[in-house]
Amino acid sequence: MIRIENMSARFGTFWLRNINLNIKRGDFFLLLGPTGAGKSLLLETILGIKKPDRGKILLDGQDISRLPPEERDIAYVPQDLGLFPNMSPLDNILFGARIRKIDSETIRRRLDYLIEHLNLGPVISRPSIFTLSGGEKQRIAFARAIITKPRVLFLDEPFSALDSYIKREVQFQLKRLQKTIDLTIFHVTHDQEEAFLMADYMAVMIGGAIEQHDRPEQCYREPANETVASFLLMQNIFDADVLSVDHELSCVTCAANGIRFEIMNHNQLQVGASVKLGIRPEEILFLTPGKPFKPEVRHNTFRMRVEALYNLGNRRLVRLVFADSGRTLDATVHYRIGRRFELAEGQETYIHLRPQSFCLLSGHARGNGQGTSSLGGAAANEKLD
Amino acid sequence: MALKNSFTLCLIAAVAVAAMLVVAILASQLYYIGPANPLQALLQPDVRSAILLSLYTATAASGLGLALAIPAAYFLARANLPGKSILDALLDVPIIMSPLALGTSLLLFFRTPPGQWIEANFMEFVFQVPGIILAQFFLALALSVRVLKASFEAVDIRCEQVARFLGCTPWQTFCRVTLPIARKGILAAFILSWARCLGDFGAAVTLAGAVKGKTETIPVSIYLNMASVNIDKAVALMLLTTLLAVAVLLAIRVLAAEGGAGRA
Repeated sequence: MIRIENMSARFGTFWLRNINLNIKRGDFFLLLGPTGAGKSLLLETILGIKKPDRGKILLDGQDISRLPPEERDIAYVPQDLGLFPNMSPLDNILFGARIRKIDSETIRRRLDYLIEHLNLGPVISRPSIFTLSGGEKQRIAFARAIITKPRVLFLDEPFSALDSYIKREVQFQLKRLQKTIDLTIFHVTHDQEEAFLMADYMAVMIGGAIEQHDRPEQCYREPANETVASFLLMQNIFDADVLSVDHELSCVTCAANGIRFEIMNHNQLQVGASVKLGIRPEEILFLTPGKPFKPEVRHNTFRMRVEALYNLGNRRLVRLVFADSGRTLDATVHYRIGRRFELAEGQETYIHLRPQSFCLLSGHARGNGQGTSSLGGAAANEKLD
Repeated sequence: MALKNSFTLCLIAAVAVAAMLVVAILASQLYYIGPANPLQALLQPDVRSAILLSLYTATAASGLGLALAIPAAYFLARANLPGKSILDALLDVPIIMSPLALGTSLLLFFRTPPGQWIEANFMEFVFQVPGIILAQFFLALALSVRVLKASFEAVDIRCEQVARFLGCTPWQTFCRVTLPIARKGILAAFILSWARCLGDFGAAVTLAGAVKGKTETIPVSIYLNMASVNIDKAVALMLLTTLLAVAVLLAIRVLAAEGGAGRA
């Protein structure tokens, strides 16, 4: 569907470096990265708003790098939506369809469909877009883009100005609609929750380069490298050495700062190898105080001191210190568990780190932006005819 | 509280003095005319012809100025070129230049070979009505470019980009998106430049002269009537230009209150 080959572009002192992406038809592809990573620049370069120094952008096999925007048959919803302030919501939606001279019967059918699926009924007859709420404007912008039935819809952080509740509602609506009409979406965001909620496939971009291109669950479980791991809030990263390998149990013993961990041997590690280990804060298990430990937690169990406790709403972030080495470890627990364990600053507690919860972090980017997104030919239920 | 009150009182006093100064000038016009009907002077054929000529030249010059200013201002608002600020400053010159100097420069141009060729083969400007329009055109162009550049800069560039992806060519984007969004700025530019042309004396009189009944616009008529001590007519015309100025300024404020160009 969309294939970006060896694309590089320089903007002042910032570089987009050797970008390779392949996005399949019907995918909800998400480009995730921190602020300043170059996501919007990459999007604008793909759109043709900015020019690449080299590389190709192929859409259905056709190189669109030199095509003017109106001949690309794609749609774009920018961060500030770009609604036409002099037009009513209905005129905004119909603008592209009228320009492209789509016949009135088709327009009416598509409009009815979008009114139903994006819940536009209450706003479609408003005289001005200035009376619309943020979420309503958002849905108008989506409808305006989708009614022309583009080959790909490009979204540049479209939810960033919405409050959480409205944002979630519009995200659900867009995701449902995308699946229903088999729409290919290229979405840019810095919001990780949004990324994992919406994406079929995602790429993590940091410092102008694609660091990982994979399914969301894979990016979450196995970040490609330390940079991606840190960005995806895997705060606990250890430099360790492999002490022993048990091939029979597929188990490896590592040491970091004098702490010994047992981890699963997924990567055929050898004794003496230096590795980076990561474990997510939510993978840390607190053990019930005063009870004998079960046999399955006899390894990787540590006595910790609670250094600090932070309230995250429905969760608590607990900063723990290894009693023996002084190394810190961040854990997140549901607020009820925090209450049950009566966690308090200065208190001692026991934790268990499951061997399968550790992941090995490479020093290099996974796939180096060579990834391919695929839903395995997900069939669309309905079409926007 | 006392300090706050004294501060507010000072502000009110300053505004009152400034307003009274203007009112005093306007009132002096009415005082001079006295109970006589100023419309009577305006109905005299020479005054009427001066008014009609002024309306014609100001409208033509502002229209022509706007036609050139729209694309020029859009280019200045959107293009990112080296030396753009020099070009921008160059287009401002007629605003800063003394009208007399502008008129003299135009007069000198028509003494050069290209100027003489234009007069010989195309149209006569010196001491002719087209000369008034040409002098006013320069003023209208510079003023319109200034107002329109700000209006086009206020049009969200994302709207134009979105329009392109929705299928618009650059021309369609400009005509269907940019111009309609900037329409109030365009109207404001026209009204302002029209008013400026209507009140112009120096540039037009230098190029087109003050020929009674031929190149006699309202300001020229005021000058000629003052020179021939026909104060009634001069003051009636001054009153008319004052009323027009008030109407124009109010119209500009109404447009500004509605917003020259909005963002969604």
